[in-house]
Amino acid sequence: MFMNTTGSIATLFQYATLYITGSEIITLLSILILFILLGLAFRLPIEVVLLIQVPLLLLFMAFYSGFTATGGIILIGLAVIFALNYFIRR
Amino acid sequence: MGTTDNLIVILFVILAVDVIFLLAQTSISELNPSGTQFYDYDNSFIKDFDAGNQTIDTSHAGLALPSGESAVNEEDSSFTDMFKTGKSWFLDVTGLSYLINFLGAPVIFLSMIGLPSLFVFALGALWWGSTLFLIIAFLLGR
Repeated sequence: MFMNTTGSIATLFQYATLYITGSEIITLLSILILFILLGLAFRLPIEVVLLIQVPLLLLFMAFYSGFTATGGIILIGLAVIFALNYFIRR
Repeated sequence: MGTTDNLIVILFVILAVDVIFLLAQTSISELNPSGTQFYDYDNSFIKDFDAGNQTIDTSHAGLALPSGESAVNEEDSSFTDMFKTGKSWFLDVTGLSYLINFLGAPVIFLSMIGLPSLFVFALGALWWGSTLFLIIAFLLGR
Protein backbone atom coordinates (compact mmCIF):
# COMPACT_ATOMS: atom_id res chain seq x y z
CA MET A 1 0.00 0.00 0.00
CA PHE A 2 1.21 3.47 -0.82
CA MET A 3 2.67 5.27 2.18
CA ASN A 4 4.80 8.34 2.81
CA THR A 5 7.41 6.77 5.05
CA THR A 6 8.87 10.06 6.27
CA GLY A 7 5.69 11.67 7.61
CA SER A 8 4.88 11.68 11.30
CA ILE A 9 1.72 9.56 10.94
CA ALA A 10 3.58 7.03 8.85
CA THR A 11 6.31 6.87 11.50
CA LEU A 12 3.63 6.28 14.13
CA PHE A 13 2.12 3.59 11.91
CA GLN A 14 5.46 1.88 11.37
CA TYR A 15 6.38 1.98 15.04
CA ALA A 16 2.96 0.70 16.09
CA THR A 17 3.32 -2.14 13.63
CA LEU A 18 6.87 -2.89 14.69
CA TYR A 19 6.54 -2.61 18.46
CA ILE A 20 2.86 -3.13 19.37
CA THR A 21 0.80 -5.15 16.94
CA GLY A 22 3.32 -6.94 14.76
CA SER A 23 1.20 -6.95 11.65
CA GLU A 24 0.01 -4.17 9.35
CA ILE A 25 -3.49 -5.61 9.15
CA ILE A 26 -3.92 -5.56 12.92
CA THR A 27 -2.67 -1.95 13.06
CA LEU A 28 -5.21 -0.90 10.45
CA LEU A 29 -7.92 -2.96 12.17
CA SER A 30 -7.15 -1.21 15.46
CA ILE A 31 -7.66 2.13 13.68
CA LEU A 32 -11.14 0.97 12.67
CA ILE A 33 -11.86 -0.28 16.20
CA LEU A 34 -10.65 3.04 17.64
CA PHE A 35 -13.15 4.90 15.49
CA ILE A 36 -15.95 2.62 16.71
CA LEU A 37 -14.86 3.18 20.32
CA LEU A 38 -14.74 6.96 19.76
CA GLY A 39 -18.28 6.80 18.43
CA LEU A 40 -19.37 4.81 21.47
CA ALA A 41 -17.63 7.17 23.89
CA PHE A 42 -19.24 10.27 22.44
CA ARG A 43 -22.56 8.50 21.85
CA LEU A 44 -22.50 9.24 18.14
CA PRO A 45 -25.07 7.46 15.99
CA ILE A 46 -23.70 4.49 14.04
CA GLU A 47 -24.47 6.28 10.77
CA VAL A 48 -21.99 9.04 11.65
CA VAL A 49 -19.31 6.50 12.54
CA LEU A 50 -19.93 4.66 9.29
CA LEU A 51 -19.33 7.89 7.34
CA ILE A 52 -15.69 7.67 8.44
CA GLN A 53 -15.44 3.88 8.56
CA VAL A 54 -16.66 2.92 5.10
CA PRO A 55 -14.21 4.92 2.94
CA LEU A 56 -11.31 3.81 5.16
CA LEU A 57 -12.56 0.27 4.97
CA LEU A 58 -12.88 0.28 1.18
CA LEU A 59 -9.28 1.51 0.93
CA PHE A 60 -8.07 -1.20 3.30
CA MET A 61 -10.09 -3.89 1.50
CA ALA A 62 -8.63 -2.82 -1.82
CA PHE A 63 -5.05 -3.35 -0.70
CA TYR A 64 -5.29 -6.09 1.93
CA SER A 65 -7.34 -9.19 1.21
CA GLY A 66 -7.41 -9.95 4.95
CA PHE A 67 -10.01 -7.23 5.38
CA THR A 68 -12.65 -9.02 3.31
CA ALA A 69 -14.43 -10.61 6.28
CA THR A 70 -14.34 -7.53 8.55
CA GLY A 71 -15.29 -5.27 5.71
CA GLY A 72 -18.04 -7.57 4.57
CA ILE A 73 -19.63 -7.59 8.03
CA ILE A 74 -19.50 -3.80 8.24
CA LEU A 75 -20.92 -3.52 4.71
CA ILE A 76 -23.78 -5.89 5.64
CA GLY A 77 -24.44 -3.73 8.70
CA LEU A 78 -24.49 -0.65 6.47
CA ALA A 79 -26.92 -2.40 4.15
CA VAL A 80 -29.24 -3.32 7.02
CA ILE A 81 -29.21 0.29 8.29
CA PHE A 82 -29.83 1.45 4.74
CA ALA A 83 -32.75 -0.94 4.29
CA LEU A 84 -34.35 -0.15 7.65
CA ASN A 85 -34.02 3.62 7.45
CA TYR A 86 -34.37 4.34 3.80
CA PHE A 87 -37.21 2.15 2.60
CA ILE A 88 -39.34 1.37 5.61
CA ARG A 89 -41.43 4.13 7.12
CA ARG A 90 -41.47 3.23 10.80
CA MET B 1 -44.88 -5.58 12.50
CA GLY B 2 -46.94 -8.14 10.65
CA THR B 3 -45.85 -10.99 8.41
CA THR B 4 -45.90 -8.97 5.22
CA ASP B 5 -43.85 -6.18 6.78
CA ASN B 6 -41.24 -8.66 7.94
CA LEU B 7 -41.05 -10.23 4.48
CA ILE B 8 -40.64 -6.76 2.93
CA VAL B 9 -37.81 -6.03 5.39
CA ILE B 10 -36.15 -9.31 4.39
CA LEU B 11 -36.50 -8.43 0.70
CA PHE B 12 -35.07 -4.95 1.25
CA VAL B 13 -32.19 -6.23 3.38
CA ILE B 14 -31.20 -8.70 0.68
CA LEU B 15 -31.48 -6.16 -2.12
CA ALA B 16 -29.58 -3.57 -0.06
CA VAL B 17 -26.78 -6.02 0.74
CA ASP B 18 -26.51 -6.84 -2.96
CA VAL B 19 -26.43 -3.18 -3.94
CA ILE B 20 -23.88 -2.22 -1.26
CA PHE B 21 -21.67 -5.19 -2.19
CA LEU B 22 -21.84 -4.27 -5.87
CA LEU B 23 -20.86 -0.65 -5.13
CA ALA B 24 -18.10 -1.72 -2.74
CA GLN B 25 -16.71 -4.24 -5.22
CA THR B 26 -16.74 -1.64 -7.97
CA SER B 27 -14.91 0.91 -5.83
CA ILE B 28 -12.38 -1.67 -4.66
CA SER B 29 -11.66 -2.65 -8.26
CA GLU B 30 -11.33 1.03 -9.12
CA LEU B 31 -8.83 1.63 -6.31
CA ASN B 32 -6.78 -1.47 -6.98
CA PRO B 33 -7.55 -3.42 -10.15
CA SER B 34 -5.74 -6.49 -8.86
CA GLY B 35 -7.45 -6.29 -5.46
CA THR B 36 -9.92 -8.61 -3.79
CA GLN B 37 -12.78 -9.97 -5.90
CA PHE B 38 -15.41 -11.14 -3.45
CA TYR B 39 -18.74 -10.24 -5.02
CA ASP B 40 -20.46 -12.77 -7.27
CA TYR B 41 -22.72 -10.69 -9.49
CA ASP B 42 -24.08 -13.55 -11.56
CA ASN B 43 -25.73 -15.21 -8.56
CA SER B 44 -27.03 -11.98 -7.06
CA PHE B 45 -30.63 -10.93 -6.59
CA ILE B 46 -30.28 -7.70 -8.54
CA LYS B 47 -29.12 -9.38 -11.75
CA ASP B 48 -32.76 -10.18 -12.57
CA PHE B 49 -33.46 -6.48 -12.97
CA ASP B 50 -30.46 -5.96 -15.24
CA ALA B 51 -31.29 -5.38 -18.89
CA GLY B 52 -27.65 -5.99 -19.80
CA ASN B 53 -24.47 -4.03 -19.14
CA GLN B 54 -25.84 -2.99 -15.73
CA THR B 55 -28.73 -0.87 -16.93
CA ILE B 56 -32.09 -1.23 -15.28
CA ASP B 57 -34.89 -3.02 -17.11
CA THR B 58 -37.63 -0.39 -17.46
CA SER B 59 -39.76 -2.26 -19.94
CA HIS B 60 -41.84 -3.83 -17.14
CA ALA B 61 -42.19 -6.89 -19.36
CA GLY B 62 -41.58 -9.85 -17.13
CA LEU B 63 -39.63 -8.42 -14.22
CA ALA B 64 -38.35 -11.47 -12.37
CA LEU B 65 -40.85 -13.59 -14.27
CA PRO B 66 -39.99 -16.20 -16.90
CA SER B 67 -40.60 -15.29 -20.51
CA GLY B 68 -41.14 -18.82 -21.79
CA GLU B 69 -42.68 -22.09 -20.79
CA SER B 70 -40.98 -24.32 -18.29
CA ALA B 71 -39.79 -27.78 -19.25
CA VAL B 72 -37.92 -30.68 -17.71
CA ASN B 73 -35.90 -33.49 -19.21
CA GLU B 74 -37.84 -36.70 -19.71
CA GLU B 75 -36.76 -39.03 -16.97
CA ASP B 76 -39.55 -41.12 -15.52
CA SER B 77 -43.13 -41.86 -16.43
CA SER B 78 -45.23 -39.09 -17.94
CA PHE B 79 -47.08 -38.49 -14.64
CA THR B 80 -43.98 -37.59 -12.66
CA ASP B 81 -42.66 -35.50 -15.53
CA MET B 82 -45.97 -33.65 -15.64
CA PHE B 83 -45.73 -33.02 -11.91
CA LYS B 84 -42.22 -31.65 -12.23
CA THR B 85 -43.17 -29.40 -15.15
CA GLY B 86 -46.24 -28.09 -13.37
CA LYS B 87 -44.35 -27.47 -10.15
CA SER B 88 -41.53 -25.53 -11.80
CA TRP B 89 -44.06 -23.57 -13.90
CA PHE B 90 -46.01 -22.51 -10.82
CA LEU B 91 -42.84 -21.61 -8.93
CA ASP B 92 -41.53 -19.50 -11.79
CA VAL B 93 -44.73 -17.81 -12.92
CA THR B 94 -45.84 -16.73 -9.48
CA GLY B 95 -42.36 -15.49 -8.57
CA LEU B 96 -42.26 -18.04 -5.75
CA SER B 97 -38.84 -19.34 -6.76
CA TYR B 98 -37.43 -15.83 -6.33
CA LEU B 99 -39.09 -15.67 -2.90
CA ILE B 100 -37.80 -19.10 -1.91
CA ASN B 101 -34.28 -18.14 -3.00
CA PHE B 102 -34.32 -15.62 -0.14
CA LEU B 103 -33.94 -18.55 2.23
CA GLY B 104 -30.34 -19.17 1.24
CA ALA B 105 -29.33 -15.55 0.76
CA PRO B 106 -27.22 -15.00 3.91
CA VAL B 107 -25.35 -18.22 3.23
CA ILE B 108 -24.31 -16.79 -0.12
CA PHE B 109 -23.28 -13.44 1.37
CA LEU B 110 -21.45 -14.77 4.39
CA SER B 111 -19.51 -17.43 2.53
CA MET B 112 -18.70 -14.82 -0.14
CA ILE B 113 -16.77 -12.76 2.41
CA GLY B 114 -14.96 -15.82 3.67
CA LEU B 115 -16.37 -16.44 7.15
CA PRO B 116 -15.92 -19.82 8.86
CA SER B 117 -18.38 -22.44 7.67
CA LEU B 118 -19.82 -23.13 11.14
CA PHE B 119 -20.63 -19.44 11.61
CA VAL B 120 -22.21 -19.34 8.15
CA PHE B 121 -24.28 -22.40 9.02
CA ALA B 122 -25.47 -20.95 12.33
CA LEU B 123 -26.60 -17.61 10.91
CA GLY B 124 -27.95 -19.31 7.80
CA ALA B 125 -30.03 -21.71 9.90
CA LEU B 126 -31.52 -18.81 11.88
CA TRP B 127 -32.38 -16.95 8.70
CA TRP B 128 -33.63 -20.12 6.94
CA GLY B 129 -36.02 -21.09 9.70
CA SER B 130 -37.49 -17.67 10.38
CA THR B 131 -37.86 -16.80 6.69
CA LEU B 132 -39.45 -20.15 5.89
CA PHE B 133 -42.05 -19.68 8.62
CA LEU B 134 -42.69 -16.13 7.40
CA ILE B 135 -43.23 -17.35 3.83
CA ILE B 136 -45.58 -20.11 5.02
CA ALA B 137 -47.51 -17.60 7.13
CA PHE B 138 -47.63 -15.23 4.18
CA LEU B 139 -49.00 -17.96 1.89
CA LEU B 140 -51.61 -18.96 4.45
CA GLY B 141 -52.60 -15.33 4.90
CA ARG B 142 -51.78 -15.14 8.58
